[in-house]
Parts: sequence; structure tokens; C-alpha cells
Amino acid sequence: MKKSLVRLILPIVLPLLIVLVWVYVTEKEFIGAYLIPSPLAVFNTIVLFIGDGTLLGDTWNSLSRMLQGFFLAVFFGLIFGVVMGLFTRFDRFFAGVFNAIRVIPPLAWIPIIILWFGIGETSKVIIIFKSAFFPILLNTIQGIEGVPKGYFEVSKLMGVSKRKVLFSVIFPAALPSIFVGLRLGLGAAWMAVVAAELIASDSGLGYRITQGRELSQPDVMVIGMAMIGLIGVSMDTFITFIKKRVLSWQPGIKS
Amino acid sequence: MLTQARVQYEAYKPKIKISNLSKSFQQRGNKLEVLNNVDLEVQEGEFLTIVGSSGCGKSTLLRLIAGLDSSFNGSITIDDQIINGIGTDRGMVFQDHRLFPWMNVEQNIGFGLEHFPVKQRNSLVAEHIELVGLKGFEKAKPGELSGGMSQRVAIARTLVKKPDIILLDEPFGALDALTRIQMQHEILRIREQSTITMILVTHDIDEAVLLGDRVIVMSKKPGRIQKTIPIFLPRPRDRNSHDFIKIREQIFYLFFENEKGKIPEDYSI
Repeated sequence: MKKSLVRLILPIVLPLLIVLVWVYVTEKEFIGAYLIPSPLAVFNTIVLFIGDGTLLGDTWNSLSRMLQGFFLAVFFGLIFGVVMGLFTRFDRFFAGVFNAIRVIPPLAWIPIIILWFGIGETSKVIIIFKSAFFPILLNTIQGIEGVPKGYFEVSKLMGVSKRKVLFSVIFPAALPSIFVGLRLGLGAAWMAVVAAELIASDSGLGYRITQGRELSQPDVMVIGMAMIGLIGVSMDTFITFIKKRVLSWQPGIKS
Repeated sequence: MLTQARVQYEAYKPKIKISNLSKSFQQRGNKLEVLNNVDLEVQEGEFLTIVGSSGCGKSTLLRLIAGLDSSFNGSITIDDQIINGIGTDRGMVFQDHRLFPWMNVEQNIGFGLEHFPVKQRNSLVAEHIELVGLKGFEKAKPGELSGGMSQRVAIARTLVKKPDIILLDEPFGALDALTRIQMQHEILRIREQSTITMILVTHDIDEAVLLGDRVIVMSKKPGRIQKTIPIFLPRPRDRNSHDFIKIREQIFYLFFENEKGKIPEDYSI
């Protein structure tokens, strides 16, 4: 009973402390309001943004971009990952170019992608796709290459079809690694959407932060950042939740 | 009651015939000979045990019979047919049970029954769960089973395919001593109910003598058949009987002849 209470309270302590310090610092006006907005100012702006739909609109814009890019990355990442993991020839064929594309960071891609596709939705989805694709691809390949040889031997001895081996053996065996890829990919996608919006956009959370800077409204910047953090953490929690369900067979360290 | 009923020396027609079998691996450019000129015949319904120290090629021999490895010299025939890779007439049980951890007991056992109608598959699976004494554990995942139980599932998974030959590669090697004894009796009980040809590889002399109609003793570097010992002890065998101990002793000394001076002095029966 006591232990579980401590466990519940423990994660809340630090955030609470931060808020308290925040209130104290702004109340005493140690630092100017143009640098750190007071909690009240932030709260008022939140109410305003919720009221006029700005917050919801920005969040929705960013989220839908991210999800488009992310699901494209999941689709192609899994297909290429499975094929490259299973067949050395495909791996050798693609690996070089993929690696070259991978090591160039999203920020370096943005100018040329804007040149080709303009500042519309397409270029953002492409940037997000590029960011999420590689973690998913690499972890899928690793997962498939790591399927124990013994499983293949058993499958052969049992005389099951290739299809069944793929879906009942290879895929489940690679799933823990694939989930790592999905989680990293989701994080990368979310970071990429903000980066893309910071540079060229007329909507979204990243755009809102840039606007806050241009109009010297620190409260707007803080709200944008907080929202990005909140959604990022929620998505990560969501994917971890699904992982726990799907991989319930895995002997866990924390269980 | 003697076991000769299973092994009829008249009308002699081997189920498995291995002649002149040699096998070597490439290891860092060097040729490492694992099996050298192995000749062996196994009869239908026979329980053959192969005992040898690690590195004598006994597991390799089993893998060759299973068809998991096809690069060897010599020939292996089953029912006078030269084997061509893996076949569902042969099943194999490994030391590491190799169950799929994401499937429950039922799904693991039914894994090889891919093209069976659901109803037939279910009844076959249920029948074999009963056979290995795992009723009530149908929905358990391998992570929730003990080593002995996992190995029972692995045995059921192989048996359910109704192979002619079962190859057991140190199936109880990873189990604790008491569970191992239990499993030895279990495999004998299962065998009572079928006439499958079984080859079991082990490094446990006791196990080899308890289970085998014949015991093959292998020596190593390179792996050769050192001696074939038919076991005429009646079943069920008592591993503490005088005759049993005599045979065990004989094999024990065969073993250590190869590794001179390694006989522990305080070994007494």
C-alpha cells in the first residue's frame, strides 16, 4: 500500500517543483516577463487559444502531417526491412544508397525538398518520412537477421510453407526489434515535423513557436513547446502500451 | 519380458542404412574431420542410443540423418531410398526445446499441422497434449513452463506429425537430474504406444543403457563407432540391478580407454 503510493507520487514531484520555482521566479520578477512568461499569462493564452481553435488547429495540422509521413515510413520500412533482412542480394543492392541518404540529416534535406516540392504539405511529409523510415528499416532488418537459426530448422523439419514461416515465425520473432524501430521512428517523425514547420510553414505547432518568436510572445512559444512535449510523450506511451500487449509472451525484466 | 519383440533379426531389413559416412567442416581454412567412415544400420521400431563425449560427432550424425546438412561423403538411405534433404518422415527433438515463445502449448504442437482441417488438427493436438501429460496447460506460453514441460511440448510437436523416425539430440541434457529421470520414463511410456524408430543421442551412459535396444559408443577425433552393444535386459529396466551396472561399467571403461589416465581412481560401483 505504502509502496504503491510512493510509486504513484514519485514521478509527480519534480514537475511540481519546477512549476513552483516558475511561479516564484515570475512572481518576484527576478527575470523579465519578456524572457519568462508568468504562469498566469501562459494560462490566459491557453484559454484564448483553446477558445479560438488555434491550439486544436495547430495540433491537428502537425499531427496529421506526422501521421502521414510516419505511416508511409512504417509501410515502406517494413517491406524493405523484411526483404533486405531475408535476402542478402537486396541488402547489398540498397544498403549503400540508403546509408548515404540516412546520414544526411533532415535539416540538410529541407532546402532541396522545398526547391522541388514547394513549402506545401508534400515536402513536410517527405521530410517526416525520411526521418522515420530509417529507424524502422534498420531495426526491422536487425530483427529479421536475428531470428534464431533453430527456428528455421524446426520449420523445415515440420515441413511448413514459406508463407507460414514468414508470418508465424520470422515476423513474431523480429517483432521486439521492429517495435524498437517503430518507437524510434515515431520520435524521429515528431521531431522532423516540428523542424519542418519551424523553417517553412504557415500552420502547425512549429510554426506557432516561430510566430511567438517573431512577435516576442514567450507564452506562445512555451505553449507550443509544451504541446509538442505532451503529444510526444503520449504517443510514446501509446506505442509502449501496444508493445506490451502484443509482446506479452516476452519475459520482461520489469514484470 | 525381453525387448527382442521389437527387433527381429530374421527377415533383416534395416529402416536406416548408413554406409561409409564421413563428414568434415572447414574451420579457418583447416579441414576438421568430424565423422570418419561410419557404418550403421537401424531397424524398424528400434530404439537406438548413441553415447559419446562432446565433440565425437554424435549430434552431427543425427543432423545428417535428419537432412539438416547435406554435404557429406557416403550414403544414408531410409527404406532403401537415398535421403534427399529434410523429410517429414523424420522428426527431431533438440536439447534446447526450440518452442516458439509467442505461441501457446496448443499452437506450438499444432505448428506442423498446417494443411489439416481445423477439427482434425484440434483433436490431434488434444490427443498429444494428453499423451505427454500436459492437460490443463493448453493455453500456457513456453515462458510459463518448466524445462521438463517445454521438452514434453517439443516431443508432442514432433510426434503429432506421425514421423517414422524420431531423432532426439540430447533432449534431456539441459534438465536437472530428477526431471531427467522422469522424462526418461516418459519417453519409454510414449514408446510403448507406438512403433516409431528412435535414435537418441546422449552423453549420459545411464540414459543410453536404460533406453536403448542397442547402444552405440562413439569415440572422437574423428568421430567413429567404437562399439555396438546390444542391451538384452528386460524392460522395465532397473538401473540399479547388477546386470545394468555391469553394462554401464563396460561402457564407462570403453570411454576412458580413449582418454588415457583420465579414469578417476575413486570410481567404484
